[in-house]
Amino acid sequence: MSLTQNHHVFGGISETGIDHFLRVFFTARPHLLAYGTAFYAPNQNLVTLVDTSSLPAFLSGLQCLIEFRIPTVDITPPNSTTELLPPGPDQFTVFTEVLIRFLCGPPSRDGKGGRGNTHEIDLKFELAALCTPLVVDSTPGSGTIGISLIQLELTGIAPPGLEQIVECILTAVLRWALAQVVIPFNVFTLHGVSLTLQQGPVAADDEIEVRGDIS
Amino acid sequence: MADVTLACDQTAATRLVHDAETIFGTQSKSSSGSFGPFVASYDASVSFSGGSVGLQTPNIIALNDIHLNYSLSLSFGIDLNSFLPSFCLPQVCVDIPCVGTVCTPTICISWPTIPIPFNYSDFIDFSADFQVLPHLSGSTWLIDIRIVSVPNLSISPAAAAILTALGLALGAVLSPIPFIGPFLAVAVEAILAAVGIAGITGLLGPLLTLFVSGLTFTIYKQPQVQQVLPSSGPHDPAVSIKITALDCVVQQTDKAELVATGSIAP
Repeated sequence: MSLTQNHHVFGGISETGIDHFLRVFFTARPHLLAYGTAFYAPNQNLVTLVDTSSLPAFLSGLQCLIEFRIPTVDITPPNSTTELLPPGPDQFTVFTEVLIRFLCGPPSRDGKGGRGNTHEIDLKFELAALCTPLVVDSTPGSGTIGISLIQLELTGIAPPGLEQIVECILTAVLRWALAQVVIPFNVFTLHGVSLTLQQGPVAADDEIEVRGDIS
Repeated sequence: MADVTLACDQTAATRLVHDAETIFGTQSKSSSGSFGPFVASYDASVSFSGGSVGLQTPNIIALNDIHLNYSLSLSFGIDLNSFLPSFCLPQVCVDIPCVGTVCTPTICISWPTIPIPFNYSDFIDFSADFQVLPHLSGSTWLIDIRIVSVPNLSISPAAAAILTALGLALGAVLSPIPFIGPFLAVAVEAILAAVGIAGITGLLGPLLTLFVSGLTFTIYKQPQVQQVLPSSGPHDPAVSIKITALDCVVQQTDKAELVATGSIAP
């Protein structure tokens, strides 16, 4: 079967290609993988500030950081049937590690937390997020595709109720983070042609694939 | 598996090649060469357009019936004495009363050497195989297609047309010359005979071959490092990727495709 099938142009990015792109993307914009309160976000190029200024003062000693490792992907078909959230048709699974760092202490005068009489709690675990590709912008030549998170699952947290709460929080954060990832058509075409999208993006054969014509 | 795979079928590849022909533009050369018995200086320019694309494994693009559009500006000198007979107006004497006999001098006609400017534009079609050659040049990735061997350029039909056009040009240039009236047709015919089809193909063939030899079109040209996303805020700088490897081949499945594969890195 030809790559272009009934179209004139095919573009595909493999799992390693997506992994490389995610590394490029999140290395350039690391704050999209880290979200923290003021104590953990002195440099907002590295950590997105979660504004807690409207919270009551008695909570000001509580500081939190949620930080994801640069993710990797497994595009359908799954590499292993035993993996967490194996991807189905037109799906891929994003794997990452999350670190939740919690600073527990009394209220601080400046509201930014502090190290006096505080202790830091680290919680680190692996998670998988089932995703599907979607068109963000279909403008010929300059269009982009994005990532839509379907379901998130993590391991190592009990009881189930707590696990569900953490999953819910992380789903909201990771959904937003992945929504910031846009992959231009130009990456699919190595900037070689201006693509008019006619089919896709679709996850298949360990690739994200698009098909269309030269615009 | 490559990081990125780009495939173009024959239709898309045709578009790439035709775009490459446009980018190639017009190429010019100036020199001189034999034009029958004459030495002509010339300015020649060519461009390429059209042609149908055939994809052949493992790395050949066959281009059929490419238009080689050429414009030729020739200039050469002709000594008309080589082509026309010399003649003299005889002395004439007249007896004039009270004056005596008065005679005119004998006047011999010497034909001039005249410059002949000649411009001609036309096209010829040719077909050739081109090899697909991806390569890194400095910090730019290129996919070139380079002609495999110089094709046989069918010059003869063009040569006949050129000879006809040359005859018209000669008539226009020679007709103002004094006393040439009765000899004009003879002169044109003699010059055309001297040049002949062989003279035209002898000049045009090697000249056009110069343009076709090593002919290379660039169907892909991109910097190794490319910005794929612009800066979108104070904390979101531009995102760039680096193409660390690039290959391009022809694959044949249920249809032939030009397939480029690349690796990317930060």
